[in-house]
Order: sequence, then structure tokens, then C-alpha cells
Amino acid sequence: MGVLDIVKRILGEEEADDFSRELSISDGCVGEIEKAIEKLKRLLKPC
Amino acid sequence: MKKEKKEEELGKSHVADIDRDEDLAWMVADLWCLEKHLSTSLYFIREKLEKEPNNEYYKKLFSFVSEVLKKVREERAKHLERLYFLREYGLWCSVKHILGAMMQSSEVMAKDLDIAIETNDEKAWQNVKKDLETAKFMHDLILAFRHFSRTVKKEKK
Repeated sequence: MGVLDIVKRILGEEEADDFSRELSISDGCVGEIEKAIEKLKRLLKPC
Repeated sequence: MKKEKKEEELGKSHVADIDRDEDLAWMVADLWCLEKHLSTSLYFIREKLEKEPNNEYYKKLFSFVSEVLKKVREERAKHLERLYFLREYGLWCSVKHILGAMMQSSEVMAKDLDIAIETNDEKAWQNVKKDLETAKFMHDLILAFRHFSRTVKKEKK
């Protein structure tokens, strides 16, 4: 469970929406890192 | 008329830029890492000095690194305070550790990534994922403290 889920449960949907906008850039960065990791894994997969 | 920027958008040079407090958090985390490295160096220099108490080079190096460490601590403390969005009930103190955990999980991730590439073992890849999740959780937690402070705490006042 991420921090956003905690915010959603404690502060409600509306605040969580606001907060998720604050996280959008870093969410994007982490998404890119995850994609790069998956790509690396695929490249290292034995043929 | 110029549109007024939201507080977290101030200082951003571009829409895809992270906000000032996020950069500040990384800066303070790095300063804290620097403190830890300098402390370790001091420990090793002291060991040398114990063996060679009259060595002028070690004496001067010890004094120099001690002074630098003192100044770095002051710099860290000066900026860490800016991230104390929630100060009550000892919550301010957890900020330093959140930052440390954020920075350190990123460093552990770099090592786990190296291991995963070397071994290409699924468990090693899972460790990389876990490290990344922890680093992101800590990063988001700092911003959640800020969000809580700007919304709930503001209403309370």
C-alpha cells in the first residue's frame, strides 16, 4: 500500500486527487525506471 | 493577467520539473550521507593517529575533516528544518530518518541492480523492485507530511 492510499483513506478522495497531482512527476520517473528495469531483464534473458 | 501559481509549483522551471521541496529533500539527504562519510573518514584518521600520535599530516587532516564535518552538519541542520512540515509529537525527528531511508534505499537499489545484472536471478530483480518501492514510499511520505500540514493542519488553526 502506497502513501497515496493512506492519504485517500484518512483525508478522502478529493484530497487524494490533489495529492496525486503532487506525486505525478515522481510517479512518471519511477514508471520510467521500472520500464528500464524490465527492458534490462528482457535483454539479459537467455535466447 | 498572470495566473497565480500553486505553492508547490513555485520555483519550477518547467511543468515536468520536480518541485523545490522534492529537490530540497534530496539535497538534505545527500548532506546527511556526506556527514556519515566524513564521520567514517574521521574514525580511520583517528586510528592512524593512535598509532602515530606525532604525525603532523594526520593531525592536520583530523582537524581539517573535523571542521568540515562540523560545518556540513550546520548546513544540513539549517535546511532540514525547512522540511519539518509536521513538528508535533516528535514527528519532526522522523523526517531525518525518512530522508536517510530514501537516500539509502536508492543506494541499495544501485547495488542490487548490479547484482541482478550479474546473476540475472529473479530474486535479485525482485530486490531491485523492493528497493525502488521503498525509496518512492519515503519520497511520497515527505510530500504527504507537507500535504497534511497544508490542508488538515491549516483547517485546525
